Amino acid sequence: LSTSESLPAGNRCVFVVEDDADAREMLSQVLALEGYFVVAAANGREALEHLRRGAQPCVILIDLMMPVMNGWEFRSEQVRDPDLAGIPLVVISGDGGIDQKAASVGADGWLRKPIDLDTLLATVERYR
Amino acid sequence: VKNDVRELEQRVQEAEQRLRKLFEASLEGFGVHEGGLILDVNDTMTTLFGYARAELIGRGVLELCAPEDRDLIAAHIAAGDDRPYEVRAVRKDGSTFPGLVRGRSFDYGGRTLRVTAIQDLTEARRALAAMRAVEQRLQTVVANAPIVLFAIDAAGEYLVCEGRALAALGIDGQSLVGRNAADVWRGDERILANVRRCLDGEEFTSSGPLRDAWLETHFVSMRDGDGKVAGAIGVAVDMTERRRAEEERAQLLAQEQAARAAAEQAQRRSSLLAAASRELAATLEYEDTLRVVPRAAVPAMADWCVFDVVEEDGTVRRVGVVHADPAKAALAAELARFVPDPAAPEGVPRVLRSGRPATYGGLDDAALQPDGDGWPPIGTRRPEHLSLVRALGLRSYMCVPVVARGRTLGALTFVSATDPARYGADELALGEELAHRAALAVDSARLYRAAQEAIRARDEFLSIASHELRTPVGSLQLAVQSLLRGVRTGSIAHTPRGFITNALETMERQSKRLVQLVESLLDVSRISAERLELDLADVDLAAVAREVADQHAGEAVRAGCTLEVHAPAAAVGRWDRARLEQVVSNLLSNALKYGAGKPVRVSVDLAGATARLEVRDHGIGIPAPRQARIFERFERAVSSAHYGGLGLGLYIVRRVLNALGGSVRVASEPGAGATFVVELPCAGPPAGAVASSPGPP
Repeated sequence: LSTSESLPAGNRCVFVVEDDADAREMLSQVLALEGYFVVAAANGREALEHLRRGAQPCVILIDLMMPVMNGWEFRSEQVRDPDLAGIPLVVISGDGGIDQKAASVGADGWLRKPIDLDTLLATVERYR
Repeated sequence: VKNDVRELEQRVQEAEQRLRKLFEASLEGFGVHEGGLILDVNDTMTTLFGYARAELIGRGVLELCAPEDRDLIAAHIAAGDDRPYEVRAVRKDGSTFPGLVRGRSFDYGGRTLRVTAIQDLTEARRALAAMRAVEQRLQTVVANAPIVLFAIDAAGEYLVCEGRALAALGIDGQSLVGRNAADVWRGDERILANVRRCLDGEEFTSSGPLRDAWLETHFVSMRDGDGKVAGAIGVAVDMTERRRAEEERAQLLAQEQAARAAAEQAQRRSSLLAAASRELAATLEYEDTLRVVPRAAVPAMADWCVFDVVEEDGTVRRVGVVHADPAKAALAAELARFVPDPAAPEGVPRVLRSGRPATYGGLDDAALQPDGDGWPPIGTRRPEHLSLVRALGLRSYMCVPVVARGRTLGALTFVSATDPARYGADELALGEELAHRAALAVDSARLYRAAQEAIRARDEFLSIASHELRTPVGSLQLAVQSLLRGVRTGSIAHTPRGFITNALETMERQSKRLVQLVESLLDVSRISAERLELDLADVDLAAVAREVADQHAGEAVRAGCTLEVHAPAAAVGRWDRARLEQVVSNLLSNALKYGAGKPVRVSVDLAGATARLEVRDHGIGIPAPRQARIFERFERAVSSAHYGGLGLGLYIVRRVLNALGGSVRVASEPGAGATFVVELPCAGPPAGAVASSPGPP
């Protein structure tokens, strides 16, 4: 996939932050197939590192339950950084009560697993 | 001569007058009769019979008495009998009176005269009758009074012994008369001493037993004209009935007092226990329940009360110290910091060890001093602990175990700050009853807490299971929808082949993941229902380890781990191959998950008849307090906010190994990785342990 060294700015960059390798890979691939430039990260820390190197996604799709740095921890780091605070965040989760969890981190939206492809594309499209 | 005669006559007259006066002055009636005819009477005679003197003179004496007595009078006269006799005299008016008659005949110049004196016996008779009546009454009284009346002379000899009370004593009073008290009461020192005292002149009352009776005897000395003691008089009253009644009354009173005390005690017990039950029933929360328990005992049963609880992991925690005196609340709170010393031979540690109550009394400040090698009779010898106990006050105490379902959950200590003997059998029974109720409440609160915990774990599991199932389904769905979209729009022709392959491989992996998840859930269900079936055969653990490691090669790559297998020699045992693969797979998945980015090593060796499998990672590790719990259902060493998974892997590992007769343990330091060590007897599960296993023939 992409590397942090040559991250293009612009409105077709999407961050996928998900610890499950299969899910991360599948999400990245379908979005790439639709022409998005996808930056994938296995946890919040990796995502934060990409952002701090200058990546500017139009939206961050993020799972909440992750090792090393989970979604809540990532969000609090993000909003503390004025350069990153404005990037829209969409929570992806298989748990019940995802709407409440999304609200708890102040997310802009949420996608419940299993994610419907059309819903995924329509959601990401909204942030282009 | 004439003068002499005259003088003589005069003298005779004077003598006669004197005689006459004498005759008249007599209180008796006098009469002189001759041949039964009255010649002269004195005035008394006239008064007695109601006749004038003239009427009497010349009258026959027999007319003056009742006809039936006339023969008697005639016989006395005829015989010249001068012995007195009684007649019924008849007055002029016909009335009669008893008369005592005495006559004497005499010769008077050749004539036989008879002088008769008569005395009216009416008054004498009346007096005699009256006296007899008095005597009769006295005799009746003495004979019938419930007393014994006795008199003893100065020598100690009985003069009198009378009274109805004698019958009850079985004593014949008459037989005592003439006998000496010293002989009669030989051997009865009490009675003999009383007789001596009274003969010494003392007046007193003595009471005591005699035969079956109880006598109260008043002793009075008899004295002669010179005031010298001449004997003793005693009046004994039979107090047997009264004493028995008094005893009965005292007994009844004692019974009534005992019954009242028992009723009051029962009332106190039941109201105290009812209040305690009410308070204990008011909450199911564990900590609240622990706080209520010592409060229930103060002040009714103790000046202060301590509750030490044995937690489920065996540690003793002092959960509450309650003091009746609000001024000592701060000191009491201070005491809660001190836990009894388990090594102490007495007090709380002893009760917790033995599960039996103990009471201690007669304690003073000296008994509560730290004393070198010795132990004060409470559960500590720390000087600061002891001085705190002295400040709170302790003279006696009892400690009762809090036992439910055969397990000692703690100990309740009831303390009296002032009474050195406060805790007897009744208090102990009450303390044990209170402890019993406390035990039920604490046990219920623990069960409630466990149930709450189980519900929380189940809810969390459902949430995690949902997450775990949705993740592979999500990948599967995206892959399917993506391919479907390509087919429907025709864009599939331009889709890179790599993407299609990748999508299909993803679909295959997700399907397998789903099957594995479902299998795990079914395993849990089977284990819970004790229906884990084992298909026993000769299995090489080294081969299984190598194969499972191969299957996880892709996963290891994705996790950034190098996976090393060290299984140089075969380790064959009688096990279930599929279950063994599951064990290795679960351990390896965990190692890759929690040790991502670091090397993971699997090794197998054989030590005698035991095969050993080690899976070592260098990941986040497991804190010591959580190490025991990770093999429980739905447990994980870390928050589910960071790591997914059902939390079932290690639970299944442990249960499968237990079924195979083996074991699993973990050695870990946070941040330094974890090593799981499996040990399996090559002989397989012990006979009979796999009842449900069909097994090969």
